[in-house]
Order: sequence, then structure tokens, then C-alpha cells
Amino acid sequence: MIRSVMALMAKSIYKDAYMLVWSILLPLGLFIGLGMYHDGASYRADLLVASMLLSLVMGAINTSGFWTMTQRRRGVFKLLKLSRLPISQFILCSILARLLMFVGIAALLLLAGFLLFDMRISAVGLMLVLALLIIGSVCFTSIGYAIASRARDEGMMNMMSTVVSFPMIFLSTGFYSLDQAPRWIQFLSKLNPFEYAVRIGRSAMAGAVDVPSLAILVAFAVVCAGIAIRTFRVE
Amino acid sequence: MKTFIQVKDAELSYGSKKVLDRLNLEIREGEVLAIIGPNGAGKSTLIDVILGLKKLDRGTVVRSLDDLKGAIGVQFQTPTFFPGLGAYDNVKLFAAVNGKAASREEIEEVLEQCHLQDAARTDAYRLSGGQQKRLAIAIALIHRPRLLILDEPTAALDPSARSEIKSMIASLAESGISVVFTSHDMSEVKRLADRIAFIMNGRVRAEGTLDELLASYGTDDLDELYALMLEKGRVRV
Repeated sequence: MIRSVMALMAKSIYKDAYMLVWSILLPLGLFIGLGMYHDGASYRADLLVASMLLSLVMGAINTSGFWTMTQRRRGVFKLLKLSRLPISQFILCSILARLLMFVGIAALLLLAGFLLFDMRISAVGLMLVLALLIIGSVCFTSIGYAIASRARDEGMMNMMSTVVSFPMIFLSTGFYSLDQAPRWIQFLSKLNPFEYAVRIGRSAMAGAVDVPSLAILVAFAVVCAGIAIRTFRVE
Repeated sequence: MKTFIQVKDAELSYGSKKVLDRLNLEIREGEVLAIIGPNGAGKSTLIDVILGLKKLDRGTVVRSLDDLKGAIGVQFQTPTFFPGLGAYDNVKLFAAVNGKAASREEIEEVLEQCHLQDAARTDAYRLSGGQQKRLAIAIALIHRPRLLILDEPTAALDPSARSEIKSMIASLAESGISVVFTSHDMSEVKRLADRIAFIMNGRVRAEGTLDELLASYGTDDLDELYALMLEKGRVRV
């Protein structure tokens, strides 16, 4: 039953135009575009990680949140509450279906890096990237669900998810260094789960584990999932 | 006739507004019950209460259906489906969430029953309003419920789509499924309902068969009956 639900959910999610633009075309274009103008192998590796995580954050917070709110307004969750499948399992199916897509996009970016810029990643690095995508999916999708529970309509959802996701990306070292940034920005970046995901990703590209960042991201994921479950609204 | 669901002295308020006010209603096996009343009367809230989606402040809902989740199929006012999936896949998905591994034949049969066989592969989002309502009914039917609850199944549809849905409900009722539906369309009520419950201000103000209600209000016209019920609103057959 779960497998069938997940497969059909994935089919539904993959046809989402927002997902196509925000999670596939934008990160891929950004990686290839910026990568072609910067020769440094180190910068390209950082760019690859940032592009992967951009795809994850936009897909998990913006697209997933929007999708959740739309389904709620349509009464899908009310109908699910009357079904045999617990809503928690349905949400898990949707997170897993999206995770499959994020893994696919990450593979596409890695392939682009290999073909265009001769980039390499070790088997250990690949496993670490996979772990990052799993933890990141739970963390950022939970944020998307929590926002969707607060939003009253599509316009509000759009505004709230943008207000959350864009500062996450800008207040991180994903695309640029924050060494010269004001202290308060540096401080805010330390409260930002995206920043820890970036650090984990960079270490993974080098085949190493950033244990403190991993622990912090796991803690963020647990807290965000807890908030998402507590605040989840059927209607 | 066996009683499937009995609502007794139901009371429910949203803040200071009383939505259900000592409401009593029975849903019986094998009948088609129409719930009518003006907008804001409490019809949709009553359906949520019957389904256990809303808790009462006071009163009880006795459900004698075994395996409630498997026994009831629901169509809400807004058609419920997953965009990106065709009618076939939507029915398959909702069968799966209900624990049923529906075969291709079963899904095609339900789609045919709802006149959706030609739209099986069309993205549900692209279906017409009438087709989306029929898809919602197909989704409600796939796990073979004994009781079908339809919240304004023909609202906001053109006459032809309305007529198709009315025929569909009639044939479902003939097949032995108990049906509860809400409506503002008196011709629909006249054609389909075995029993009518008129709700106003959260209370059942009149209840009975069409003939009983017409006789009670001294009219032979259903629209006039509705207007009279709205006006008087307190006589109970």
C-alpha cells in the first residue's frame, strides 16, 4: 500500500511546474552558468554543494509548502483522515517521494560537474551527500509544512515561504564568503540550518564528515519535524 | 430499516456562533436522504460531525456501521484530487490510502460508472467542473462504501453536468448504496430523495418524505415548500 502511494505521489510531484523551475532548472542553470565563469576547482565544488542545497530548500520549503497548503484547501487531508492511512504516513510518503527527486537532481548536478568541469567525488563523499539530502529533506520539508499550516491562502504561502527560504540562502556561505560581512550577519548565519547543510556538503565533497555541523542539522531536523507535526492542520 | 448513524442533541459553536443547536438526525440503511437549508444553516458542519471530523460541544453521534472508515465514501464541496495525476491514477491512489489494491478492472469499472472512462489519463486539474465532481465521487466509491455522503454534488455546474450527476446518484441508490446529500437544487431533491431534512440555524426544522412535507405545508410545489419552510422554519413532521 505504502509503495503504491509513494509511487503515485512521486508521479504527481514530478509534474509540478514549480518544482521543475525552482528545484531543477534554477540550480542546474546556476551551477553550469557560474561554473563556466569561475575556473577554481574549489569554488566549483562549493557551487555544486550550494546548487544541490538550493534545489533542496526551494523544493522542500517553497514547492512542498505550497503543495501542502493547496491540498489542505482542497480537502485532501480531510479525506485522508477518513482513510485507513494515517496522515503521518502520508506525509512520510510525500517526503520520501520528494527525497527521491532531490537525489535525482543531485545526481544530475554531479554528472554535470563530472562532464563539464571534470569534478570527482569519492564513494564515501557520495554516501555523505545522500545522508545530507535525507536529513535536509526532513528539516526543510518540515519547515515547509509548518509554514503551510500558518498560511491562509496561496498568496500568503508564497510570501511566507519566500521570507523564510531566501534569507536562509543569503545568510549562508553557500554562494559567497561571509568573512567581510557585519558581525550580526555572521551571527545570524550560525542560527541558519542551511549554513550547516552547506558545511556538511563541502566536507562531503572532500570525503570527510563535519560531525558538529551534522549534529546541529540533525537537531534542527528533529525540532522542525516536531513543530511541523504539532502545528499540522487537516483543514 | 437499520439506522447507520444517529445524531442526538448535537450542539457545536464557533466562538459565539451556534452552528448546531440540539440537532437530531438519523441516517438509515438503503435510503437517500437529502439535507437542505439555506447557506450557513450548518449542513457541511453536520457532515463533518457525522464523519467524526469535528467534535461536538454537547450531544452524541452513534455510528452502527462496522469498520466506519471502509464503510463511508465522501465527496466534499471542493473536488478533492491530486493535480498531476489523471483520473485513473487518482482513483488508484485513494484506493491505496484506503488499504485497497484496486485492480485495473475495478478502477475502470468505477470510472465508467462515473462516466469518466474517456478522461482516465487526463490530468485531473484539466477536467471540467462536472468531471472533477464525478472524479471526486469515483474516488469516494472505489473502496465500495455502504454509505455515500455527497456535499453539494451539483453545485456550480451547468445543467448538463448536473443532469449527469443526478442520473449517477440515482443509479448508485438503485444499486443499494445509501446516499446522503446536501443540495440547494429542489428538482434534484425531488428526483432523488426518499427523505428530506430541512436545516436552519443549526437545527432540523422539518423532516419527512416529500409527500409528508408537501401535505404538512399544504402545497404541491417543492420550491414553494422550501420558501415556506424558510419562512416558518419551525414545524416538524
